[in-house]
Formats: sequence, structure tokens, C-alpha cells
Amino acid sequence: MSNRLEKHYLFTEEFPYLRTNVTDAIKLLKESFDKYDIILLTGSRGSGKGALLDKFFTLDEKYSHENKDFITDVNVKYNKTNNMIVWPNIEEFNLISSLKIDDRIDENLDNLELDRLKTISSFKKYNQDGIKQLFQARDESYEYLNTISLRLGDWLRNSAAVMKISYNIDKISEQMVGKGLFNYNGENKFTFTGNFRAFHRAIQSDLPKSKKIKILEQIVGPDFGPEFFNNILKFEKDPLELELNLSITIPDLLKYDDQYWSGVLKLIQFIEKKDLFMETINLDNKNIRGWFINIGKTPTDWFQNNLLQSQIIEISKEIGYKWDDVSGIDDNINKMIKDIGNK
Amino acid sequence: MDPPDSPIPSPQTVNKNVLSYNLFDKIRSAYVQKEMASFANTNVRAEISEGDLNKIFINEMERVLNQDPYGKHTKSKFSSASKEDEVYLRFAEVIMFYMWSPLDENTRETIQAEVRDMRKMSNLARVDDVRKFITNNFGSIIHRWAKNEKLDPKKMEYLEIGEICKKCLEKNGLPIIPDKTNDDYSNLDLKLVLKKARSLLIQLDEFGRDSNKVYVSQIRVLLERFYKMYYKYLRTIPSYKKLFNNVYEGKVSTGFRLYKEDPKRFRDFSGKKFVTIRELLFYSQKAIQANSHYGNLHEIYPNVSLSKIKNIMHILNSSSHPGPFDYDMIQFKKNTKSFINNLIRLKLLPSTVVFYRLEKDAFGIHYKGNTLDGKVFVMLSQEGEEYELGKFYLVTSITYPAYLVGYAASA
Repeated sequence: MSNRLEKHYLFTEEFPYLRTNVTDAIKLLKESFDKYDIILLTGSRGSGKGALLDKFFTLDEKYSHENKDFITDVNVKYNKTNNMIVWPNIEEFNLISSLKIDDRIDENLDNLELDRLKTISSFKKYNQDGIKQLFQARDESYEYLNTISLRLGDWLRNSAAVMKISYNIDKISEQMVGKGLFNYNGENKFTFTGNFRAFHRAIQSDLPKSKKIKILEQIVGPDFGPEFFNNILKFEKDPLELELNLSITIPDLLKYDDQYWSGVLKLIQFIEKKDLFMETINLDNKNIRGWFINIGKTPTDWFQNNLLQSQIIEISKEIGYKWDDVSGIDDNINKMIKDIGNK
Repeated sequence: MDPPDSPIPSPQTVNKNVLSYNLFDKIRSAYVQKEMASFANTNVRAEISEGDLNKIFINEMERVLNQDPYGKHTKSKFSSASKEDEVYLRFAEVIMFYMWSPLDENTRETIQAEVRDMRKMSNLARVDDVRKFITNNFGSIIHRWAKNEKLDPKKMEYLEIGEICKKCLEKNGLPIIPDKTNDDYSNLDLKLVLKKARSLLIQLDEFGRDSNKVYVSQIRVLLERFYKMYYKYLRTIPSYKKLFNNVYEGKVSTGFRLYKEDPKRFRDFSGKKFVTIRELLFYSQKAIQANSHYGNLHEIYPNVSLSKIKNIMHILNSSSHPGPFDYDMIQFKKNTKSFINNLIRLKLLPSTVVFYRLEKDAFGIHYKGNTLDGKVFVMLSQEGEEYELGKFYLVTSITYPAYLVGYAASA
């Protein structure tokens, strides 16, 4: 059956030195867009995140999209003819903040993050409106996002299905050896950062060749960078064959089934009848799952964050759940949710 | 060791200069104002006074305390006080319980039996539990409270109620231990500030792009922030303050020279000038290395040549000026990354920001601090048999619960 599938390749005309098969990646993207509300697409610098998405959106009209820029048009009204928003490299989010050194550094911090908060709030608003969003980030995104904006990093880590681009270095190595470019004794594998775009940029750049090589050594790999660039013309008629691998990791928040979410809804409705103050939950459309994705917390975290342990235990008694002293509080809350969901 | 000298008031008196009274009063004001506002356009307003609403608040607080797992046990202790005082004193004890768990043995057993799985009593301030107690019971008044605290209303629009409550608590002196979602506080975390700067390096484009200047400018801002905070932090430790004084005023011979506009006396130096702080740190480190009587001091600055640091700083400074920005980004990235890594490794760099408050307990008067990663330590303000003045000691489970009497923002 797979033989009948049409194969898809990336930028064969723009960069004929590579033949990058993205057939499986396109298939996984399609399935993921159907399933998940927020996706974080990661890959090393120049690995083809943008090119993959461009290819995808030209292939299937069902998925219309709008590229938005969170620096300039995050608050522009959404165009309803599209069903998805694609955000540029999220690392650039750092540019939003206009950090200013104040004379008294400890006193004016409150103002520093306002722009960021507004932007994150806009992301969440799109999610509330049921519009799918795709964020792009480099491989280092987890650590990076958590330094540029803990709130954003935390939200994406908890709420987004994370897709990662990679290339099989062994296969690339085999081809390079096959073409007589590397002396390979089975041990001296080259390092490769996955940055193919760097070659494209090097070709276009006006810098002297020695400088280009120096740059490629650093951003592509000390061996692969110079070897591939010096011999690039050899690949024009016989391109390096690649497969863009796409893997996906699903956070806990996206793993729960409908019955679980039904239990969460029932439990919250029960608690709301009690005289306890909690964060306001908009349950108009009963989209409890979407609401939790928006806040980026699992139900167990949320209950613990909003209620004292004594209150949780009291509620468990009221709904007839038998608290399990051996299990921890997380397990008990999850069992409680399943229990009430089954009723 | 003497028993703790508790500043908690005796049952019959109300000390209005303590944190818990401040909180009680703020919650009361917000409650009364919110109720007044809700009656604003009704006939009820004419019939209800602020005094009435105050009484309603006291009753409401009493109801809350009666339902609280710890609050209900405080009921019988303060029978001789007026109702308002009694309710306040019970509130104060509940807040102290949530923050520090300063429980007597009998009460502790009773509470532990009632609230299963309660965490081990600790002397680490648990501001989150105070926040939960307030938002669960008085969540509807938090926005009004934030308004009274003059917190930026624009910002409050984007924060969850728990976050707003934390900000109100902070305004009243509770040490806020930032959690992983607090972007603001990450700017107070010295290591995170450095890591942010290091992260920005990966954005620099080796082929040369206009955005390089913007990113380098942001790195400069972060490093400037780091230097000022780090210097300010070290200056709170007497032995390092003395070292800075000696280097600054030339009492110790180093290559340090004052700039024209720098004041001659160290005590007049405000610590705002980036370049002076940098050089003071550099030459103070040289003084530590060169003078044996500073041998007990830790390394406070990386052992990197001044010219290397100046090269980095020159590029950082250029990013803030108009004109072309054409530097070798490969070399800059390499040097700056290595320099920042050396800064991150410094021993005296607190792993996280430190929130101090003055305390008085078995250790005598001292400053107690929380770090972002949950460590608690004390800095003593008086000599003790086993304690040296000005040094920090990690607080372990053997220390007595401490009672909060005040709070000073980060050092």
C-alpha cells in the first residue's frame, strides 16, 4: 500500500544538492494537526522546519493557515478563512521585551514583562477560540524557552505536542564515504548539527570562501561542513539522499481520554457548588480539555494548586471516594476523577 | 541554647506592627470597599455603614477560621480579647502556621491527626499555602486588594488570581519564592540572568545580520543587570564590603582607578555605574589573590585577563550606540560564552535570588533568606560560639522554627 503513496521531497529546485524525502513527516503532521490543538515543531537551526510546513500547506487545502508575527501582529484580528496559525521561531519572542536598566534595578520589574504577558495571553485567546496553533523552535528550545520566558516555556512544555526533526547521520555518513569524501574506519563519524540551510546561505553570501568555511565548520560540523561545501557541485546531479525524520512527544495533558475529562468536569461542577473560591472556569461550551490546555496544567496540578489538601480530602469523602492512604495525592486525585467520571 | 524569643503577641495584646496584622487589615479594607461598591447603586447603601461592613467582615473571617483545619483549633486560646482582636489573633496564628508551622507539640499532634499526609513541619516559608488560604476564602476581593496596593492594573489583567495574590503578599512583606512560571522573578535570579544572556548567544548569526546588534544589546542589558545585582549582593556580606572599600579607596594596592565622576569615598558610591562595578570586582579578586589576609575569602570574579573582558564589553557597548555593527560573531560567541560560564561557576553566586527578612530566634537577631530552589539560610548579625559573623549558614531541620518580624527586599 505504501508503494502507492506519492512521495514528497523538499526544495529540490532551490537546493538541488539534497533530495530530502518528507513523505512520512507529512503524514505524521497531518495526523497530528487532526489530533492536537497546539504543536511545537522543533529541529536544529536550518533543519527545514519552515520548508516542511510550506510543503505541507501546499499539499492539503483542508489545512489553511496564516503566518503571524508575534512581534508586530499578535493582536491583529484572526482571519477566519484559515484554520491554523503558524508562529515564527519562538526564540524571537525574546525580542518583545524591552528590558531597560532602571536606576533602581529591583523596583521596576513589574513593568518589564507586560508585553510578554499580553502576547502569551493572545496565544491563549486563539486557543480559547478553538484555533489550532503551531509554534516553531530550535532544538534547544526547552532550555532556551525556559530562560527567555518561564511562563511561555512552561505552557508549551505542558500543553503542546512536540514534534522534532532529525536526520540519520549514519546514512549521510555512508553516502559521503560512498562518494569518496570521508575516510571512514567505522569510528570517525563526523558531527553534523542538522543545519542544511547554512550551505544555501554560504552559497549566496558575499563573504570570502575561507570565512564561509570557518562559519560552516562551526555551525554545521567541523568535518561535514567543509567537505560538503567544497564538493557541493558533485551533488548537483547525484544529490545526497536524505529522509527528514519527524518524531512526536505527547505531554500528559494530551493523553487523557474523554471519560477522564468528563470526570474532571463533573468534579469541578461539584466543587463549584461548594462555597470555595477557585479560578473562574468558563464552562459554557463544556470544553474542559481546552480550558486545561490553555492554562497548561494537568487537572491534578490544578486541584492541588487551588485547594488545600484538607479540602481535597473533604471533597473526596463527599463524593464517596475512598481515599487510598498508600498512594500519593496525585494518584488519589486521578482515581477520584475516574471514579466520578464513571458514575 | 536559649528558647526562641517569639515576637508573636501575647493573647491579650495586638501588635499592629507585624506582618499578620498588615495582611488582616489589607484584606479587611478590600472586603469592605468591595461590599461598599456593590451597594453603590442600591438603597441599601444608605442603611449600611462602614462599621457595619467591618463587623460583617469579622464574622466572615470567624466563619472561615472555624472551618479551617488549623483555625478551628485556635478558637479557645484567646477568650479574654475583644471579638475583633480574637479573630485577628486567630488569623495571625493561622498565617504563621501556614508560613512557618510554629506549632506547639500538642497542637501539632492534633492537626497532624486530622489532616492526613500533612508535610513535615518545616521552617521554610511556605507562602503558597498562605496564598491558598487567602484565595480560597477571600478570592473575590483580590483584585480590589491589588488596586489598593497600586499594582499595575494592566498587568493584573493578564495574571491568574493566585499570581495577583502573591504580588499583594509581596507588597506586604512576605518573601515570595518564585515558582517556575514567574517571569518577573527570573530577572532577580542571578544564575538565570546569566543563562538568559548565554541563551541569546545562540541567536547570533555568523553570516551577519542586522538582528545581531539587537541581540547583543539585550545581552548587554542582562549582563549589566547581573553585575549590579551581584555587586549589591556581595556588598551585604561585611568581609566583602570591607574588601571593596579597601580596593575602592586605594587602601590595598591594585590597579583599580576611579573614573572622573566617581566619588572619592566608597560609601558615596551608589553602585550604579557598570564600568566601575566591573573593575572593582576585577581588582578586588586580584587583591584576594595577592594578599594573604584575604585568603579566607572566596573567588568573586573569574580569572580572565582584563583585555579579554574589555574586548567583550567593547562589543556589548557598541550594540547600544548608533552606527555599523560589524564584528566577528564567531569569536565573540566563543569568548562571551566562556566568560559567562566562568561567572556562573563562581562560588558566591547565589544559585537563586535571596529574599531576606530580619528574624529573632534561638540564633539571636539574624537575616534569614530563601533561595528560589528552596534552600533556607541565615546570615548572623552577632557572633556566636559556632558561628562567624557575616557568613551564611544553611538552615537544617535541627534549627528552631523562626518567627517572622519583618522583611527587607532582596539584599
